[in-house]
Amino acid sequence: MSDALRSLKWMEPAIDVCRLGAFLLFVALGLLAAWRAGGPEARRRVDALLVYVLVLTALVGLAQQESWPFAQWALVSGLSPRRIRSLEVQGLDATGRGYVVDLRVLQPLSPEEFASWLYANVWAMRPSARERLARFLLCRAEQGRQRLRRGERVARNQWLLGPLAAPYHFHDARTWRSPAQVPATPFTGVRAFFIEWDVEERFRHPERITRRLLFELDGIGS
Amino acid sequence: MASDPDVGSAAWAAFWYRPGSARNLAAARILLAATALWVVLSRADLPSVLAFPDELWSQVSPERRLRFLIVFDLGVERILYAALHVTLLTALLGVLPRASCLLSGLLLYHFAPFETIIRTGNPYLRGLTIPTLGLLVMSFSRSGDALALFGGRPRDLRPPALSWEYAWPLRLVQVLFCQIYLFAAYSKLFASGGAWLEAANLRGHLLVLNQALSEPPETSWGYALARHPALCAGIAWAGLLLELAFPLVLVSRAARVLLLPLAFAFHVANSVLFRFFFQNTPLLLLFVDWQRLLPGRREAT
Repeated sequence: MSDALRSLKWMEPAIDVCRLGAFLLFVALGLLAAWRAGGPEARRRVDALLVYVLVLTALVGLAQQESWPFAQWALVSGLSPRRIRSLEVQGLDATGRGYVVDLRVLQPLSPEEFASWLYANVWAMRPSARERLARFLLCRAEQGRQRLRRGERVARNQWLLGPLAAPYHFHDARTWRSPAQVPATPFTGVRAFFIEWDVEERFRHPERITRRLLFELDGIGS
Repeated sequence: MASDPDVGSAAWAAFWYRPGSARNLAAARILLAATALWVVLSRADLPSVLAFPDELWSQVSPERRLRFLIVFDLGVERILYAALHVTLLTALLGVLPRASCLLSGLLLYHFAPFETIIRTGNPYLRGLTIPTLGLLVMSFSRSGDALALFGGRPRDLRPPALSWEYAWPLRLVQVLFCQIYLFAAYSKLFASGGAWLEAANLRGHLLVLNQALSEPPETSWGYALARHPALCAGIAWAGLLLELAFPLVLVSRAARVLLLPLAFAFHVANSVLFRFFFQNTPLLLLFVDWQRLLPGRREAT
């Protein structure tokens, strides 16, 4: 059933409006329940709210279809894949040498959101769109490089709470730990790859990965 | 002898309306607001996602923007995001608590999807789902009758009596929280069946997550565990059983004593071994009886 519902992708816009309706009805029933305290009538209004929430959350949970903020709470529910891929971005200095970029430079967007979006869309993008995306990445990478060289935090999310800031759901790989990992001169270009590997093979041989170039921007003026 | 509908009705009333304490409800308000504020303070300039390249927004339909009212320009969104910080703080302190909770809930509904909107309109597991619903529930109820600087009751009165009006909102938030565990277990069986519990599957997840998220994976705890199939199977069973059993905390004091520390350990282990973090771990404190723990006068019964 879940797969059948997911196949109705064309209905997604209409379903989004229905989800808004489900949320607004929750708020409306809640405000009605809050309207006046005391008496059996008040209990009936609260009952209506409780029944609505229980029915809606049961539907969402059992059908595994979200209507956020009513969530289906699926968590690592599939079987583990044999092959996976990950995003790697390299900043290029003026000599063309590449340096792996810490993807925390994308914050407040999490790396996995950006990578997931890229998996789904990069091959359909026009060259001009890829170039705009590459320029965005270059800008972010260069800002991150400058922060690292100045001894500031790479992760902008830690602006106030430092290491006590709430992490994303998936922990970020802390790629940059020392200013020596980036050049003293600005990044002038950027490359993006999908890194792909067989999970068991990489467990035995960490070096066995393949890189697939997504796009490259070499030199700011080019 | 009571008929079945009467029994059901009595059980319903006993679960939702058994008189509860104003302090426990107020503690829930504080926990929800504090958790949300922690996450919001950890997402620097979240509205700036609007200024990301148009390509990143290409898959976001007008209907999805409408769903979350993402229709304002960056300047307005930044003002609203700043306002969210203020309303969460006032909800926490109990300054106009119900209005603060209502505004916080609505603003969280608006801003939480910014984290994922380019890919999905479902930002669950980002830490703001339960606070969004919970703060709205707090706004529907008398959550400002205790532990509030400027709440709904004069401060010189004796503590409010136990009331059904303090019970149902806390119960509802607790039920919503328990659904996280229950549906997490259900989703595993729904999507993968019994194969999810096999050692090879758990080992595969350990390897995948650590290879993708650890730097370097070879020295991670997840890799160390993956070398022991029996432990992998044991952890899979233990995790699933904990998730299935967790809702017992709603009805059993003994279950709370046992399962709340276990759930805390479960989240710590998930963070260390699987590299995923549950921002709502502090909300386990929703099940603590603050009326017994906090100093001060007891409420009248």
